[in-house]
Amino acid sequence: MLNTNENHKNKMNAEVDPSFSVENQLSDADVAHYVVDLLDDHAQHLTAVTAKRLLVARNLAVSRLADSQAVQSSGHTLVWFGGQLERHRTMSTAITLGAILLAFYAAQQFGLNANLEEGDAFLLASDLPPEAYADKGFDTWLVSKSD
Amino acid sequence: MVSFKKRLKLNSLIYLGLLLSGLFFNNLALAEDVNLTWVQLSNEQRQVLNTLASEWDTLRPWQREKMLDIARDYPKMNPSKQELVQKRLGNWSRMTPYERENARKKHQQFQSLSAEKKNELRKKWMEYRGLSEVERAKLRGESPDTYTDADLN
Amino acid sequence: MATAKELSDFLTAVERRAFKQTTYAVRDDHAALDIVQDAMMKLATKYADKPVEEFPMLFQRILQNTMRDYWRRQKVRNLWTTLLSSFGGSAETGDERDPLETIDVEDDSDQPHAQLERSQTIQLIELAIQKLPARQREAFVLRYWEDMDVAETAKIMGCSDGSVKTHCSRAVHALALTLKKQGLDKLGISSSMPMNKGLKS
Repeated sequence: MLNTNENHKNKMNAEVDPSFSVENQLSDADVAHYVVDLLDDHAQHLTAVTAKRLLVARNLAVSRLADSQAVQSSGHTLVWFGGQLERHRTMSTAITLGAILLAFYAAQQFGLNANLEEGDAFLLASDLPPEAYADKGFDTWLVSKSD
Repeated sequence: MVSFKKRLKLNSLIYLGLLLSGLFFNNLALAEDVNLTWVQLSNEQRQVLNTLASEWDTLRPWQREKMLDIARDYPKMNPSKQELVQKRLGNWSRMTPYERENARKKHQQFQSLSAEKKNELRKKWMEYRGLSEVERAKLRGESPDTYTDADLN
Repeated sequence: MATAKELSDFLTAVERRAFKQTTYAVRDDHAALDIVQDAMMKLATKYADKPVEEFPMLFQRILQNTMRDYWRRQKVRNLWTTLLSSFGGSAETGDERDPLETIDVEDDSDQPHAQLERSQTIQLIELAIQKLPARQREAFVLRYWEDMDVAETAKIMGCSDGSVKTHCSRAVHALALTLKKQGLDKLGISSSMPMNKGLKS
């Protein structure tokens, strides 16, 4: 679906706030349109460093896509590797089992540690009451005080 | 003969399954308690969570779980900390899940501050409390990250 | 399934404004670059099987989510450790600065008058965009800059159509106020008004 400027403006005009008088003032749609044109224009003028980094990021992503699509189309490598492992079936099962047990143990430990530090009880018993942590007015006030 | 891919998938699933059940297992005992009504909780649990007696049965399981965590950690604390927990539990339970989640994150950051800065923050909080409710409401409204009811939909 | 070329073309068209949009939200060029990079990679790895027509919406959603993750992690630490160090005078937090200080101010000493006006306007607009409440900015960017319709915007933002309209309206009014201060609220404004550009790429 192509978005021509007509459609674009019509979409926005449909939401114009009727309480905004059009006579001498720009309508909502005009304001939005003007601002976006400015922003779009400005976005084209990035520093060379930034533009380069975006390019690099883009190329990385694209080559990752290209690689994954190449692998999917050829299963040869995997079949060969699978053949190798088939021969050492007992070994691979033993390793897997060992890994599972290790993970189980680690999970127990991890679960315990997480609880020790993060329970709400510690929050409630801390130097500040819970309201202090939740109050966004407090943050705003701190910011204003630091000016 | 099972293909390598299928075997790998199967192994990974078993692995994952056991890892997850390992994590759940740790909290199994607790998980059972969330379905208990107030009268079914232990004496110890009811003592700690006394403030919530009247509303316990109306709380959702995930809310109760958090409260039961508090009851579990409570005995590890000294009396002055226990007193704080008792004092603040009511307010805590009345906060929204969103507020509580924010508070948890803030608390994590608070814990990483030095003793000096924690003290400072405490003083600032007392100062802030000195402002009128009208002023504080205004400050909350000015926060760029304040989500009003309309925003949350 | 999208091809590598389709992904490349899409990202080329969208990367600059995606970067700018992110800087308005996180107020940090380095972080913005990381976020956009992350988003590109996520699109390429997790949604490679989607048709390219879905990319605009997908990418915006990924971007918003990545930004939100960053914001949730960063804002708490930045506020309390930064603010407190400015009270106490200690330099522990080193190069963490007031987020508003990271806005780049263009050097406009060489520009002719009309261009100078324009660059001042854009600086004010950028400042105004950054000061908008997050939800209002999101709605504005998605509706008017990314050209999504109300339903698409609502889907990305996870809110109702009505909320989208409210947020947009408020955002536009805030921006109109900024323009008004520049004396740009009258029709037939100065030569700094850009020409209609036709189709958006």
